[in-house]
Amino acid sequence: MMGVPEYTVGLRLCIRIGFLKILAGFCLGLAGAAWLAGEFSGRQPATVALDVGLSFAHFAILLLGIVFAQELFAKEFERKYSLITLSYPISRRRFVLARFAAAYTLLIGSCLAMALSLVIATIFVSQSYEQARVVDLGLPYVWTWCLIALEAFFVLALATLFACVARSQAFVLLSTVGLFVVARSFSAMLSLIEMDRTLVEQPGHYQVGLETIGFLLPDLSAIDIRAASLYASMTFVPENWWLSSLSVLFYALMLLSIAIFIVDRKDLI
Amino acid sequence: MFPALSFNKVSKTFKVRAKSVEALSDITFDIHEGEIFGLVGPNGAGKSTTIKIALGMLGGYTGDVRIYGNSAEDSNARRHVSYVPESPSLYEQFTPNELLKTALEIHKVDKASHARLRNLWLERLSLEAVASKRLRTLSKGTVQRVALAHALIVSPKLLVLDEPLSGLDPVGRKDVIQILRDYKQSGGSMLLTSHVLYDVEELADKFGFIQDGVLEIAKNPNSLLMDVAAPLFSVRYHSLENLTPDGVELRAGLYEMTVPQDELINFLGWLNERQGLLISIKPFVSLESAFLAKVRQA
Ligand SMILES: Nc1ncnc2c1ncn2[C@@H]1O[C@H](COP(=O)(O)OP(=O)(O)OP(=O)(O)O)[C@@H](O)[C@H]1O
Ligand SMILES: [Mg+2]
Repeated sequence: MMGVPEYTVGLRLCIRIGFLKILAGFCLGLAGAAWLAGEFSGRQPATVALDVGLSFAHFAILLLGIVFAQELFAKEFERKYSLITLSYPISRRRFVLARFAAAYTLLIGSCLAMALSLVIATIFVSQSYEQARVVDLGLPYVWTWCLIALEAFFVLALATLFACVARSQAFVLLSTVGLFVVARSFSAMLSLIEMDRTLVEQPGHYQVGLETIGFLLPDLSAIDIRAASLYASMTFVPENWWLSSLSVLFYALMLLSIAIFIVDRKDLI
Repeated sequence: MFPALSFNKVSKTFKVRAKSVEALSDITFDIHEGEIFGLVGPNGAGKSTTIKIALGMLGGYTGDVRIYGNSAEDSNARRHVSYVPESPSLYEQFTPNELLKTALEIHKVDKASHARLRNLWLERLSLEAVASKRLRTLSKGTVQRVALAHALIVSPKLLVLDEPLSGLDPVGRKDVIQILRDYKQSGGSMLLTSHVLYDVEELADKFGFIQDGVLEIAKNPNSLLMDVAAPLFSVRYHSLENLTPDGVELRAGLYEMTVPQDELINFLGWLNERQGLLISIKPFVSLESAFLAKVRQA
């Protein structure tokens, strides 16, 4: 990959906006938040620390994905850098894929760095307290992060698509965050309505609406398997998480294909 | 042998809401290997549209566009093509050095010669002093020179320049023209545009005049002027008093007058005697307007 110049340009552009500083900030923030949460929770501090740290990581990955897509795609068209970039003897598909790969490489790197800083924070917290049930920082933790990396793939594809059609960078931010929140929460809302049908008037309507979303967006909460690591047991892990993972992957590849299709037909003006 | 660039009956219409603008209508021309084609036309004539179609940046046109025989829509056709857009925007967080490096990498120029080429082109465009400064901090003229270095460093066979001289001061202009002349000497082909003939006259071998999307080709633009009877010149001079009622006072002390070519010498002698200060002599009928008059006749 390093031999592909478009890929290296993508890396260079992302690093130029201060990626390393932002990542360092996220790692410190994540460790700090986890440590504080652990410190102030009465029971099971390690579990709480890990939980808070992972939530922070989801948020950080979302933001990084959006920033990369803005930098590599939205800015490219908005500032007319593309007039030169796309006059190179490079196909548009290759342009999108190489840049996507560059951004995703950095997202994977960010996952590794944050996973490590969270481990350190959690170990630090659990040393000072005894906990009835210990967290599992072994294989379940690794799997949890693998699925965060998958979520990052989806988020980046979503942000890339928006960045390729966007007129403004704010649009990329708002729509990606918006759809991310929906994709993470609609299944929870659905089960809430099913559980308590007095919660809203005409629950049937909501149910249909939420189920429609289920066709348009993958269920991101279904691939959040942090419970396996938090409680060192599979009891609270979403069923069929591996099937959901395949669906998230499928949706992400679809979004990426649409982005390529759009860029391929884009007029540079 | 294929032409470096060929347009065959190319038309392009932009649709903006309900209205449609015909930006190019039935354009045909060839730029042969080693030929410099100067495309001249006023604002909105279709110059940039022509260039963007040549580089595969605009779709939805009719006709056939080829670069060295390959369809312009195929990105591989641009292997030996470089482009400088009008008022180019370059990655502002990069330095000229990095930008040139990127061009070399993307055009797969042998790594061993990168440093030598970079130094060569930084020097040729007097960019050594700013080589490692962020582009964000550079002036517009400097950015334009960086863009030119970025285009030339990969030794393109076809160079496409959209208004390369606009925005340059006289010294910068002279430098750029010299560099383009050297490029021509080395056998390169070029498409360059301008809204004035003056800019492309000294470089081009072949001229295209475009207005409202209609193109006329001329091998020698001056042949057009011959058609105009008794060329007139517009003369400007400074004088303390109004020397003749024919002179129109533009502002205090600055006069303008139209003089036929055969009376020009006499007029200058007369002006000298009266201690008028000559400011400029310009052809009253410009090549552009003569040309356009001809296009409209046709
Ligand atoms: N993206 C676009 N959408 C709609 N109309 C366009 C678009 N681009 C160009 N046009 C129209 O096409 C015509 C040709 O424009 P073009 O940019 O090619 O002119 P130009 O000769 O480069 O002018 P200038 O000297 O101002 O750069 C103009 O009438 C312009 O309004
Ligand atoms: Mg133009």
